[in-house]
Amino acid sequence: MGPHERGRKRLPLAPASAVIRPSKTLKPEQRVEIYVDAYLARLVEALHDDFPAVTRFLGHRAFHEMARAYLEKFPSRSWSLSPLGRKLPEFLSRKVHVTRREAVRALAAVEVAMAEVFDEAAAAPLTPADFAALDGAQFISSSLEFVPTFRLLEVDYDVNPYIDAVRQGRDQPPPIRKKKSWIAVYRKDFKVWRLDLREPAYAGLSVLRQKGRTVGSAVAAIARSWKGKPESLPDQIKQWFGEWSSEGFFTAIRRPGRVVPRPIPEGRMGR
Amino acid sequence: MTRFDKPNLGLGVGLRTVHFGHILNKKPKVDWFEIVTENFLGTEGRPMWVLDQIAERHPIVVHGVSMSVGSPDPVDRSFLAKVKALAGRVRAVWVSDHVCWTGVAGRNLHDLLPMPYSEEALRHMVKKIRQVQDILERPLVLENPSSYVEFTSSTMPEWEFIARMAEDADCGLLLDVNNVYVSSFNHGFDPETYIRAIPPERIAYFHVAGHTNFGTHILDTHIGPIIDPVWKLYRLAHERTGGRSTLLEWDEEIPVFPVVHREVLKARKHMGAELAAP
Repeated sequence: MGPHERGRKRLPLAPASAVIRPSKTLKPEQRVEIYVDAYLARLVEALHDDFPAVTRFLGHRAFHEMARAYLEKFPSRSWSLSPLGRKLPEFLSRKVHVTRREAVRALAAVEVAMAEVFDEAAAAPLTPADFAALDGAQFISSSLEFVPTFRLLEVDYDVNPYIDAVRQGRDQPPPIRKKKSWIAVYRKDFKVWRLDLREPAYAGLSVLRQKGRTVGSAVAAIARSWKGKPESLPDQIKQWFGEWSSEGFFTAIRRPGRVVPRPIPEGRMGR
Repeated sequence: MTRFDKPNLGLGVGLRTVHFGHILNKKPKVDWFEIVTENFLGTEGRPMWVLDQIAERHPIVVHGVSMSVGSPDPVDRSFLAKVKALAGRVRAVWVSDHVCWTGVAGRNLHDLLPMPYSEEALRHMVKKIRQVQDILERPLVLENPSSYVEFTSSTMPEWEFIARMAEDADCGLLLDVNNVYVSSFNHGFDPETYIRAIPPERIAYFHVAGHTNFGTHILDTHIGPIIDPVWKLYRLAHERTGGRSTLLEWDEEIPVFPVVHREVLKARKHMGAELAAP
């Protein structure tokens, strides 16, 4: 219940004929129905666009039923259709009748992240050269600021291959299994990418996402989750940080007492 | 001549994402583009990057669907600030929206809902338009809607409401010729009477589009080519104004860009010979 409904009694509806004139061919109710149908069609289509993998998984009819129930609970309160589906994972965390609800919720969470990242403001990413300017001690004591176009997810199903298959238009997407999965969703060169992560990499990135946490504490978190040979860990950490920086996850290095942001090229940020 | 000191931009096309690649790569010679405002607000992704490039080469008109000027809700100042910023960024020739409401009590229906055409609604509309123009610091241009209902509380025809609204609020008008045709079919009025009642000096530009006729009613689907009766109305509107910027909207089953562009270029046939040259 929103602020406008709170404490307000719902007034009895007047019959359509009291408000709407008939046309030569349509009764007042039929004329109103044109708008009702268009409202649902428009909003469900917007949800289809943001959730192609959820649509494919459920099938169009079941998706339509779920979308109607979702819109009853979360009607649009924005001039933009972009945020319309952002609460679908929250909706699916409730006891709603949807086939394999938890798997669908995992799919929806990733697709929400993709939609958000698509629209987020740009920020110039740091490059490997920016990191090379720091010595080891400086790097370990630094915090890293993520670009706005980055999301980090932990879900209980291996949804990434399924989303790949749907986005690539394959006829037979793979089954979705219950399996803990860690995914980075990010935008690079105006394309939205998804990167499957191993658990230690997710642990490290999760720590880095926390305000004020240093690279050193991220490395410690990686080490705690590491199940491989101890001697191979340093090379793995180096490889991951190299991959994350080359994929453009970070936009600024925060060292104790100073900030080293990546300068934004003119003409990229606009507003 | 319009009441507003703006040029006739020629024949333009509504910018749609499916045509981004063609427009960037082929650089078609199009007089101007109209964008749907909301598609470029709240995003810094590829659409905005593409628009910045197109705006470097073409005049842009910013055309919205969410200003909801007719709603009893107060004007959304944060939304208007975004519109103003976008208009500045693309050096918009016009900022336009619709004579309608799109939501109430904080809920948005994402549709262009018609007004009751009453004295009370007219006063409300004029007040809101003046507020919007003050915030935008430019004249607002409002489009006549296509509609499927008429209210029992209406006391004047739509054309009278719109003509008086434009005069009282001192705003511009976007005359959508297809919408006049659609509403005339749905409500049973004479479309030529409508067009003759709109003050030509208030008309900033024209929209033309296709629609879908279900027999019992017509839906403004923006699909397919423009039918002859709509071109006939366009010709009348053109004669009355002496020529205005004209834009084609195509939003369903959108064909490749050259097909869309060719459709709007047909407008040349419907201008008087002395008006055809830009």
